[in-house]
Amino acid sequence: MALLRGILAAALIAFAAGAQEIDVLNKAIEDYNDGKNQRAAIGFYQVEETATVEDNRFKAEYYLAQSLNKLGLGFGSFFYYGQIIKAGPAHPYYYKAIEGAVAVTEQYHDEVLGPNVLNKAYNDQFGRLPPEVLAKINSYIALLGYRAGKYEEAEQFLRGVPPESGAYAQAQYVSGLLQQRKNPEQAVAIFKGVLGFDGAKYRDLADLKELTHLALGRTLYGLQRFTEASAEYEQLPRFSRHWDEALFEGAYADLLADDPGAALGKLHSLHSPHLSDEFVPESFNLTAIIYHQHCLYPQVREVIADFNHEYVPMKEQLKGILDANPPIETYWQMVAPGDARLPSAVQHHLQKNERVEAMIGYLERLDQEAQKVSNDGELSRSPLGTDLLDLISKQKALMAQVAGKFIKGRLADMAHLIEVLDGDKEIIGFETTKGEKEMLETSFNVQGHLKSQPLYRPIMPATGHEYWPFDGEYWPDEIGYYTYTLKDACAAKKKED
Amino acid sequence: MRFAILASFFSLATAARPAAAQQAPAVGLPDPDVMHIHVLEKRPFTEAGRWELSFFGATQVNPKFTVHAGFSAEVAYHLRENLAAQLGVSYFPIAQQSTLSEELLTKASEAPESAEAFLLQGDAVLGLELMPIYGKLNVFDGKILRLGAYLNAGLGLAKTRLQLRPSTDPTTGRTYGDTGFRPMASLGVGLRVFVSEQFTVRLELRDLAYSGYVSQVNGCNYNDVVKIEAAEALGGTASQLSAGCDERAFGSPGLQAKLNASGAKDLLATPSAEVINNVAFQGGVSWLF
Repeated sequence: MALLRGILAAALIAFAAGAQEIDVLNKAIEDYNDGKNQRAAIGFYQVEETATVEDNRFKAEYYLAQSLNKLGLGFGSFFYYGQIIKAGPAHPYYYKAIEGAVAVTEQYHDEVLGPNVLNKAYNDQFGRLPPEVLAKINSYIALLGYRAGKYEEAEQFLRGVPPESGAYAQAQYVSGLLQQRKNPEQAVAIFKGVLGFDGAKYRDLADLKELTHLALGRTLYGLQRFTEASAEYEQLPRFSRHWDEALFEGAYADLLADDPGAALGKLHSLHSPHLSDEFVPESFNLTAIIYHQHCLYPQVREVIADFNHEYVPMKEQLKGILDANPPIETYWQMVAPGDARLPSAVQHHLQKNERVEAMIGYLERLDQEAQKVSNDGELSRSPLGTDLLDLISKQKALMAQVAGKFIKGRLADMAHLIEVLDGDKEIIGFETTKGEKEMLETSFNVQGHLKSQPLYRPIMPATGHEYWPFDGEYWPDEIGYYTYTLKDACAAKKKED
Repeated sequence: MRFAILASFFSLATAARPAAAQQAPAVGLPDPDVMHIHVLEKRPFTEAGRWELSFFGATQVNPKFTVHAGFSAEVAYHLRENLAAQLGVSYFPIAQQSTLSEELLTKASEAPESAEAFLLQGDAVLGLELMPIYGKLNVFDGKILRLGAYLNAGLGLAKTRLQLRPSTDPTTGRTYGDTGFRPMASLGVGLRVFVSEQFTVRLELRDLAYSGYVSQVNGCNYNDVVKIEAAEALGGTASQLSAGCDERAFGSPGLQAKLNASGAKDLLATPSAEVINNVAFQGGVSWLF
């Protein structure tokens, strides 16, 4: 009898709790429908944490994620979508959660966390998702795979992005990058196809086209189609994110296309005050090589001196930072504007890196979310607020480590590059001294040789151009339009050599 | 500020520019002037193949005996970056004798010669414009303003008139006599400032040259106006006027017609073959499309 009474009491308590749970859930749904997302989220969280009825918990989980998204708390939202995705297809909101997670990933330009979670969760059931959502997921995972060097896996995922998808342009770009290694001619065709895309349905198409011009230039360069490569590099808008790379690589293409004047012109732009915060140590070596090819030894020495002045101290500074071995999670702060620990060119170079930008942007958004939660009195005092702040803090620590590791790697790469170029500089210096010695020994009449070479104006295009002589003054609108005419001081014999 | 002379026109003079020897470095190269740096700048926009519609306010800048002020419109087609064909029309609602002329007439009974007093009511000119000098200004530390100095020349027709009576005449007030159309040549020099790809500000000095020879006023020659003056003084109407002479164009019968005919007679008494140079300053805006 006592047992029966106990069971009855437990049943009554459970019934009462269930009834209360339903009330909280219904109230949260009502708030959600009324646009009171903060109250709704607190209510859904309560149900999600304490639900005795599984269906209620499922529903609360999904709508909690939705409410947080509407509150502008993208990470919090993604976390709860992630919980549902983790639970697997048995969760009634599984597919909707994947859709939500993809939307947040896209909205936040998240190239790390979202794609990784989706990649881990990927299974055959994803085939039941709406085609556009699946295409986006395939595109994200393909990019992830490409960056991780898993090229075959990336190719497989790219096949799952149909032409009608908004992610198709991005997918085709990655596909072109993959073909660059195997079939460069095919890569050229793919890149040209991407450049032909038009329309608002493609995400970040203008930025993608910039990258595509660069990639196409590189592919054509690899195919030794130097003139075409140079023309492609010139398609990048002036002062755009990758313009410095286009100028440098375009200069190399010009040199190999037998146009040292155009190459020096591009390098002149790179060394202008307007691009002084670009990290371009190789450009000095290339300049020195061109002068050396023309036996213009004083100019070679001048360029070497510039390199010594500008980049050698930079290498020492970078080495100093790396040797000091600061905590890995603090590296990302060095990239923040106003932080003077890094040379400005290095800092700017890192700021322009899409992956660094994405990671720092993510960290900043986490800060904003934490701030948003803290500023909301009701939310911050609620258990949901406490939980969110804790989650954000852990996520920030994790992302700071990921970003720090990446940035540290890039700093080491840059220091190494300068070191290698410093070594090359020694060789150039030696060759220069040798050339000068030969000139003196052979009593070659350099003056006469140079005087016999008139310098003409370069050929003007038929229309749409203006000619100005460069007189030492850098006009912002002229950067990128320089070209040199230069003499050759080499004796004929050396030229033949 | 940076200016350049149109390369295609002056290329012969400037293309072959040998490097000048300067100081000698220590080793190897006695001539540091081993390179030239050029800027082959892609223009942010092109004018070639585009139409340009301009509107100006104009005023005469050499007003001795006459005063002109008005406005004009011009449509141009840019055949090349620096060459355009243009058709312009002008209208001078203020085209009258200067205060000096009127005072001379009123106080000293001295009238300027008809050529000097010739008034331009309007004109239409077809011509060409050449922009041989271009330049640019760096304003507000970064904003580049492009400029072009141009010359234009054209031929057309001018609609003219003569002022017969001064504004101080208590009977007639200021009156005019029609002197018809005559050929005109136009020569201008100006500055074009490209504010944007479409919008341009233009300042221009234009010499409007036309013949000052007058033989008829309101279709009447000297003999006609003598007859009109005499007839109107007697309260009648002149007879045996030449074909095309419109007596009533001199005003209502009687004193008014007499005075106006008298004014015309004075002006026609000393015909001149002088060429009038009406120099006008024009300021306006244009739209390239």
